Amino acid sequence: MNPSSLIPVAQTIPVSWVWFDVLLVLGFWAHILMMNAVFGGGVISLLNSGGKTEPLARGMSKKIPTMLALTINFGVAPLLFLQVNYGQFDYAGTVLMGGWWLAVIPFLLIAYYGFYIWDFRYKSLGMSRNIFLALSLGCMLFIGFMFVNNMTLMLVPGEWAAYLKNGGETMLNFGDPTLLPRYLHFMTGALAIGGVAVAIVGKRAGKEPQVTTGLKWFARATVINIGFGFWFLVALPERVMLAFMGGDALATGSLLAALFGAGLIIHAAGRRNLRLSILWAALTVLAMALARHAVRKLMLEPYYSVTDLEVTGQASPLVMFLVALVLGMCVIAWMIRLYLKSGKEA
Amino acid sequence: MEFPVWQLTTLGGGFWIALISVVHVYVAQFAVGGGLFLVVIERMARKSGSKEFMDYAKRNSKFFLLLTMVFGAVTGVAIWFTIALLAPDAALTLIHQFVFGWATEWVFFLAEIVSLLVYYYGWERLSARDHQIVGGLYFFFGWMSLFMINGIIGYMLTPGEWLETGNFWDGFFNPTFWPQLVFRTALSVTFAGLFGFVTGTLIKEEKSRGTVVRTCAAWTVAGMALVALTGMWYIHSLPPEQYQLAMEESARVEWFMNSFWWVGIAVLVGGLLLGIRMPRSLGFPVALVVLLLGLGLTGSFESIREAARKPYIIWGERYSNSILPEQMPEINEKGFLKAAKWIPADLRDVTAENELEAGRWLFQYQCASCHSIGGPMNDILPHTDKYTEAGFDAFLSGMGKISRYMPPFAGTPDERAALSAYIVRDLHGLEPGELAIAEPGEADVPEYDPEEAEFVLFAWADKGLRFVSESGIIRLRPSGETLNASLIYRGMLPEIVSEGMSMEYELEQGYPEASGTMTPGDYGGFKAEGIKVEPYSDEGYSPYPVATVTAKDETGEVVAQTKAVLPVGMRMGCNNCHGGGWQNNEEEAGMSADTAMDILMVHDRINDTALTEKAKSGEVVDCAACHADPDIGEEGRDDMLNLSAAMHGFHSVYLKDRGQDACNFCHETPMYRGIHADMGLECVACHGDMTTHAGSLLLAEREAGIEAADKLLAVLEPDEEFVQPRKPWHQEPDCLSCHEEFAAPYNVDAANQWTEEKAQLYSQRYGDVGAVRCAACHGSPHAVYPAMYDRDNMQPLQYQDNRRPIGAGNCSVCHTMEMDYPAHHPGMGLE
Repeated sequence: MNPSSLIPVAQTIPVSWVWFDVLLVLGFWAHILMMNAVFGGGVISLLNSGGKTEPLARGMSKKIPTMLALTINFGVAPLLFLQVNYGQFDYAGTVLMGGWWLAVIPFLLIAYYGFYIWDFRYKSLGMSRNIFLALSLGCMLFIGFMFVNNMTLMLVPGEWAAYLKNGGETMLNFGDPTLLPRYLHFMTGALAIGGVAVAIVGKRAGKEPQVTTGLKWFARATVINIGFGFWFLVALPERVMLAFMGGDALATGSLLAALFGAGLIIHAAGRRNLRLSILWAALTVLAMALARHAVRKLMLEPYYSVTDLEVTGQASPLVMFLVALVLGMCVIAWMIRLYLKSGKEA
Repeated sequence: MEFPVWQLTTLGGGFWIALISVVHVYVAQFAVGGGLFLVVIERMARKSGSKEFMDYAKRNSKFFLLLTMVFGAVTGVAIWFTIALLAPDAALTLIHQFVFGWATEWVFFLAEIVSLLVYYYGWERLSARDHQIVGGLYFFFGWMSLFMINGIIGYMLTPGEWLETGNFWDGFFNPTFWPQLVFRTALSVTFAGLFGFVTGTLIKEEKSRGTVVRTCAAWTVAGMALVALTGMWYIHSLPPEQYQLAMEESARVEWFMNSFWWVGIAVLVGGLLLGIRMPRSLGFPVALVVLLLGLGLTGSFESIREAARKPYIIWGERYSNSILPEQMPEINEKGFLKAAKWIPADLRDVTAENELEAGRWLFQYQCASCHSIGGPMNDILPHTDKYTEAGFDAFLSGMGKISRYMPPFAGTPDERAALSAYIVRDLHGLEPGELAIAEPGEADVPEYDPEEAEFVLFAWADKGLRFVSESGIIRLRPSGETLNASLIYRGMLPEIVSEGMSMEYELEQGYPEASGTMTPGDYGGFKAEGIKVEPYSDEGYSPYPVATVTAKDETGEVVAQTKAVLPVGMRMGCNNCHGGGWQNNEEEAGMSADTAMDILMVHDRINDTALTEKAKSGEVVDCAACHADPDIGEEGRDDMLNLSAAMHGFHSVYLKDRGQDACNFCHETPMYRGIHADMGLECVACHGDMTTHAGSLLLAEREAGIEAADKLLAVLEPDEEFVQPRKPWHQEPDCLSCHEEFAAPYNVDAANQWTEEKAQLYSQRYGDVGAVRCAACHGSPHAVYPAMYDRDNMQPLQYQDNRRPIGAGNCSVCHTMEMDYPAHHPGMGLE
């Protein structure tokens, strides 16, 4: 059967698709940086939860719950904008996943409360606290896997007909050769960026060994991740893979930028240069976010282009959002400054 | 239609959205009110100078953080996940129409998170003033996120002008925006109090505990007062059509509304109780109970709102099962299984083999959004366990037309039948059965000697097709048949004789005894009315008991005797849809008490009556008390439809466009057994189909100014150029419409050519000479000679040794000689 016959009709969008693609990528960038800090930082903490390096875990425990709150918040924005431009694909995949997708919620709640227990009961629980840390990290592994399923299932309308053949039961995207390498690539990337987070926290606490630990993770995980990235690349359909190898500007450009960034990362981390590490980390992840976006567009190319969407032209709500964003950011910035300043005074 | 469906059974029907959204809204609205509460408590704590109070304020903010930021936020995301799973089309409409509303709300969420974290972690770091400002900012952003979501939720209930303009602001600032905003704010204030009780009652130090708990009580009481006031405003902001459905028609809304008020009162009382000085040990458990009640308050309100939106998920725009109203004509013509995208190839056409599986997919797409299977949400099983497969198909065809709560079924008749098959045969495991047709028994033709006999006696029932229903609960069609007799003194000029004669009737052996005397009627014949007879004999169910009619002279000598069938059927098909089996299960006849109670229950629900209560108290519900029944001389109420108009009018919603099948559903149509039946003319040939049969009655009632007729006519939509108004029982098909000039008909065209009055009915009419009733020679209506069974032909067999109408080509039966002129009416077999 023709996969296109299963693709739901797209609804109208208020303003140009460019807005949503840009906000989607930027939002995802913020989200994934935060997620990496939580997961990667959490794993590194778990492996430094006792003995001499335990202060690393202690320091991270005070930050991770807050970072998770921001992870979730920064996840909302890109998911929203994704659903504007690509909602018909995302929701088809979501429904196919059924209860698996909804299961993310209880796992997230467990992870979230688990991190707080690890933090708030750090001393009173003793080493048992690590059970909660491990539990939370396990939950995040599940959540990540479900997100990868959702984000890849939406890209393969050719696989959707399996639903019709299995009597309408829920399904995951196991048939997709990119599922596993993508998952490994993301979670390993998290370990790398988690290292940066650990290093930052260590620097602010004046704990140099922690900075070293963090940057070591940063460098090594990045090296391994290049391998997973390569696996991911060759697992893509040939048409898409070739796009990344010169066929498409955005795809090839972002991949090259990311590889270059990886090189800079390994160099800066090797030099224990935290500031550059942070810079290259952020930029490399941005490049990767763009590459990821390119994968999406290329995979959907046979079926769909965002330029096909009908624009209604209602711009005033956008203005409302931008005004709220600017004002909101100002207040947020003021509150954060207030907090940081008061710390110095106190 | 566009998306696949997440197939759920037990936990279907919206279970996940109900659970998650009620829990989230409770916590989220607490978060809004609680944000203000935090700052108020902090101020009070600082003023009091009490360390315990300050400690409480800090602990409370930790509790607040862990509850609202973790659970509150994640369950909010959970709602989003759930609506994508359960209603992807509608969710995407919300996304696409209001993306910048959502995005703005997101800014507020971010500000909430930052302010709450700064507030929580900054107790010691920030100055008192700065700390309270941050707290105030948290409350501000919390309320602003309520402001945003309020617009979008309100749009779903009352989209207002958005339906025409598609404009964001029309949709956002919709008819219920402001009332809902203040209503939810009032709830937020109340919930702040309720949650505050939980932590407040745990304070060890008595003075602070007292202060905090009393503050919570004040918030709860003031909040509930505002809830009551703003709730009234909210309800009255509903557009008239929705107000009517919510407040007057929907039993479901009524239930939740009652729950809301009762729970609300309980919350109020609980709050007041806690305001009294209570020992710590008692306060906390009571606080937990009150907290649970608050959850009940949220649940009942959100359920009211959801119910008031039916049958839509976005009112006027999309049905709860995600079908667009504007697509209905295409779907009904093409078929749902062809129109929807995600249907297996082998289910696109319904066949005998795939019928149940096709029905299952139809259920999942059209019903499962609101109906679970064996689960807590609107379980479809109890809703449908009373139907037969045919009955449920009939119900589906009229669904949503009278009770607008339901969306209409979308699809072809085959698909509808498949859905019914799935529910009745698959889910309920009910195999279709068939009633054996009760055929009239043997005919024992009385003796007669045409040479010797001085008299000839004719007898016939007023009705050849007679239904009785006296269940002891409903008096729908009381027993009481009318038997007629005509005694004719034979001769060249026959005479109808009644003076000096007595006429008796006796029902045959095996039937409950019924015998009696017949009294002289106004035409020279005899009549016995109100004969009560049941169709149960030694041989089982037989609706054709035979009465022997005997004429005696003054001396008591028998001058003539004949037999006639006095039909009484008790197999009305009410139980096809109303369930309940039979009154007499062995004989499969009679309306059972369960069937009757179901009928009353439906009547109560649709017409807001209290008949089930009346029945339960032991009183028999007499339909004719309200609904005029001219056949039994009951006048009913003059602002209500007559019984026939009400019965046929209401049921036409579910039985129209089915031709003869509609009659077969309810009436014991095998009892139609005369020559016309034998020739293959069905009920509809003379009476018209349901649209005509019910439409004619309703049109007459509309002319009589009965309002209820309009509502039903709006559904039935009879062609008023074709369908002619009529009064029941007295304006019926006229034989002469087809038998022009009493001749054999050229074509069958009787519908909508009604008799003008009772006297013109076949059963009441006389021949041209004015002496003999038509039915005396031609037989009871619906069993006209030559009837299909000899039990109905006994008089022609007795007097003529054939089955033809009396006197057909054989005037000597009464005249003792042949006549050369058809005086009684043209034809008579003489031409």
